[in-house]
This record gives sequence, C-alpha cells and structure tokens, in this order.
Amino acid sequence: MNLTISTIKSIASRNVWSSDWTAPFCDSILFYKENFYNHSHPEWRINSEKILQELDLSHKNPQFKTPFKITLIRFTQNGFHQVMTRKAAYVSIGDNIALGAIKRPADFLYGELDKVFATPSWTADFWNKKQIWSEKMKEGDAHLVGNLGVSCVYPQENNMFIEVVYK
Amino acid sequence: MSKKDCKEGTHYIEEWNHEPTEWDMDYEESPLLEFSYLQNKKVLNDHRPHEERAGERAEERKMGEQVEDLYQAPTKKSNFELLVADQDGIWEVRPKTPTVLKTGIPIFIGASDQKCDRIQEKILTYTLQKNTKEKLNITFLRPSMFPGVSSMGWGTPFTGLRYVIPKLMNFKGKAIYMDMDMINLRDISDFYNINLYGKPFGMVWDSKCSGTGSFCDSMMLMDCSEAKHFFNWEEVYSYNLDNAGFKWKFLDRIKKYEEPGHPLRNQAVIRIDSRWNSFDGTITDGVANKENQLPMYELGRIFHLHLTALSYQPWHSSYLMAAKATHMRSDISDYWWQLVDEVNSLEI
Repeated sequence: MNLTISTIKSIASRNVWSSDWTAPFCDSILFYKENFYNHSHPEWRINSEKILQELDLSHKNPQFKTPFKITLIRFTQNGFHQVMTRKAAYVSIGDNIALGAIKRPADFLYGELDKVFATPSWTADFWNKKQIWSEKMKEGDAHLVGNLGVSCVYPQENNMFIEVVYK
Repeated sequence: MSKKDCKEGTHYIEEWNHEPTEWDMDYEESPLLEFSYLQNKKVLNDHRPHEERAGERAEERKMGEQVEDLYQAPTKKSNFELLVADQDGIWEVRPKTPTVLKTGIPIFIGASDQKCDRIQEKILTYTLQKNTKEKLNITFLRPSMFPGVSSMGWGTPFTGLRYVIPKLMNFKGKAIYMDMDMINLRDISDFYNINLYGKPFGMVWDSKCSGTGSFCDSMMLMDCSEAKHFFNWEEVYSYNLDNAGFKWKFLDRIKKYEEPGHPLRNQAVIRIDSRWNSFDGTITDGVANKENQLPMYELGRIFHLHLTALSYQPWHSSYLMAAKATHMRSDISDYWWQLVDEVNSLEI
C-alpha cells in the first residue's frame, strides 16, 4: 500500500481539490474510475498500473480484486461521508479515522458512530441491540468492508482517507 | 439607455448604426485586396489582375513591406507594421510594439466564488503576468459582486457577467474578457492591440458551435463604446428570469451582421486568430473530420489555451455536474500541473 499512499499524498500536496457526491461538503480528489477517468497528474499516470496491482487485495478476500473507483476524501468542518452499502477498502491517512458499518439500513449509522467513541462502554452496552461494527484506524491501515452500510467519520478537519470501491 | 428602452429584444441592433471610418473604407471596400486566414497565418489576398500587380510586386512588395495588419495600436491614424514574406509569397503579420497604457491593459476574468477554482485563477493570472511586460489591470467578475442577478440558464456561475464590462469601463476604450479556465502562453498585449477596425468585437470563430459555427465570446476583445449597442447590464441582469441564457441572445444579435453566405464576414466582429482561444488544444476554427474532431495545435504554437471541456479540466469545480474524464492531451495536463507547482512555489 506504500506506493498508493505516497502517490496520493504527493498529488494531494498540490492542493487541487474537488468534491465528490459521496462526501458532501468534504474536499476530495477522484483518482480513478474504471474506463472513464484517470487522474491527470503525471505521477499518477506513471504509477497507476502498479497502484491498481497494489490495490488487488484478493489475498485478503477474493472479492476485493478489481478496484473501479479510487477517491481521496478530506474532512472539512461541515463535511461528512455518506453512509451507503459499499464493497470497499478504506485506507486511513492520519490517525483516528472512525470506520463504522451496520447490517441494518445504512442511515441507522448516522448519529451512532460518535457515541461509540464518546462512550467507552457503548460497544459492550449496545452491540447486541444495534449491531454496529466499528474500528478506529491508524495511518496506513486498510480495512475491507462489504455488504454493510458503511461510513468513515473523523471529527477533526483536514484528516483524510482513501476510499477504494471494488467491482 | 434605460431598462424600459430595451423591452424589445432587437432594440439594440436597430439602434446600432456604426458610421464607417476611414479605416473601414479601406478595409471593407477593397474586394481585390483583402485579408483572410490560412492555417495560422494572416494572409493578404491579392485578387487583382496579374498585369496590374506585376509591377507593384517587383518594385514595392518586397521583404519588409509595410502593410496594415491586425496588430495595430487602437488608432484611426495610419499605422503600419513590418511583414515578412516566406518562400511561398505569404505575408505574415508580426506583432506590433504593444500600446502602453498608464492604467494597464483592462482584463476582465469571469470566475466563480468557489475555492476549488482558486488554483486555476492563480494559474491564469500567473501566466498572463509571466508572458508580458505590460501593466495589466485585472478584474475578476464573480457572482457575489452582482447580488440578485439571475443566472438561470448560465453554463457556469459567471457566464453572463461578461456583459457588464462596457458599463464597468464607463463605455470607453477597449477591454479584454476571458473565462477563468484558460492558460496564457503569449503576450496578452498582442491580443489587446488587435485592430478592431471600428467594429465592436474581436472573437475567434468556433467552427463546431451550434453545428454550423459561430463566433465565441469566451475570449473577447471589445470596444466598450460600440459594445453597448448590443447589450447592457440592466437587460442582462434580469434577462434569464424569463429566458434562458442571454449569451445566445447576444450571439443571435451578432449573427444579424453576417454577410449572407459568408458567416465569417461580420460587420460587428473582427475574426481573430484561433490560437488566441484554442479549445483544449484544437484549432478552434478548423474543419472537423468525419468523427467531428477538430485538428490540433501543438502546445508550443498556442497563444491562449482554453480548457473549455468541463469534464476534461484537470481540476473539478464543485458546482459543475459534468462527469470527470481524462484529458485527451497529456501534454496539456502535464503543463497544467507544472504550472500548479510553479504557482505553489511562489506562495509564501
């Protein structure tokens, strides 16, 4: 994952941001969308094939082989990451990204993730009732999520994560 | 002109009654000696009988001949510039020494209020300054500067703001308008010094616009004293409440000044070399092939590059719904990223 992270960080350092509908009000950079888009920075063009190989995570799970969308998302004060059912890998850039997933309809996750971290006993108290799986990620961690309603939350501005959605 | 006066859409056209100047007479009424464009060169076409021009060729038309050209200073007086003939006898214009303005060359840039566009605005400003020694007087036209204006039907947040320029210029002098999604590669004073020959506008011909071609107002030289006869800000301000896109109304008005059968000859518009508004590297006024693709300029030959295809832009504005697509010219996107690094390196 080193090449992926270093390349994306390098391009992000140019401070050319856009937006992505999956993360309203956040800053984002779309790097790859299969058959439609490759980021125009020469560094991406040079490394993109190797990055796609690196993001072949079939050794972890055979269904996570072919990425079709790669996006970097940076949190802003009012930004949030839409809860949706995805088959994706989430790579944290910076610490303390909170990754949450739920088997119930995705919007059940809204408002619940904060409690997981604000209340240390929440997991023990409510896990059986709410069935929210959560993980606090560290820099470079990559977590696979599939067939669950999922969202990344981070309370501080400027922290980032890479969302790699798989076919 | 009051808003009341412009209820009829064609009111301005009927009022516009440009009195031919001495220059117009020379330019318009010499059917045997006319200017045209061949590829990237402005050519003097001499249709006079061979015997009539033979002596002149031998005696007068030689290397360094003085002939009027498009790059004259904005004056009604005779103003000549050296031309150079190549081996084929084609006479190419050389830019004249730029006109010096105390206040700077007035440049208006249509822009949004979105922070995601800032990097591109910096690049455009940086390249404009980098390629000229002239003083520039740059004004960004942003929607927030014109509260209440109806932007219904505009392609971008700033599409209709270009029509305020004559008013901002107090209806005097020449001014340049350009969209923010451009990169300058040649001294912008050369563009400013193009002679409008008394016409209100100078624009590049877009051969693919609307299927049949049209002049394109995304990069425009305008004579503010004449342009007011084609639009005023009061009209544009509320135009889109009932109609979509004043831009098309404006282009319709210009079309009325086309010479029948010759859309490129327009009494209201001087046609400008398409290198001044190259759409994503294409020869904007070129002939499309069977796949409806225009021929391309090499990057080094472009004067002013317009990253006009919203999908292709290396940055992606949050207000645009266009899908993202990889630019067809990697040399252009590489150059854009090079400029990003140059601009970022200048920031403290």
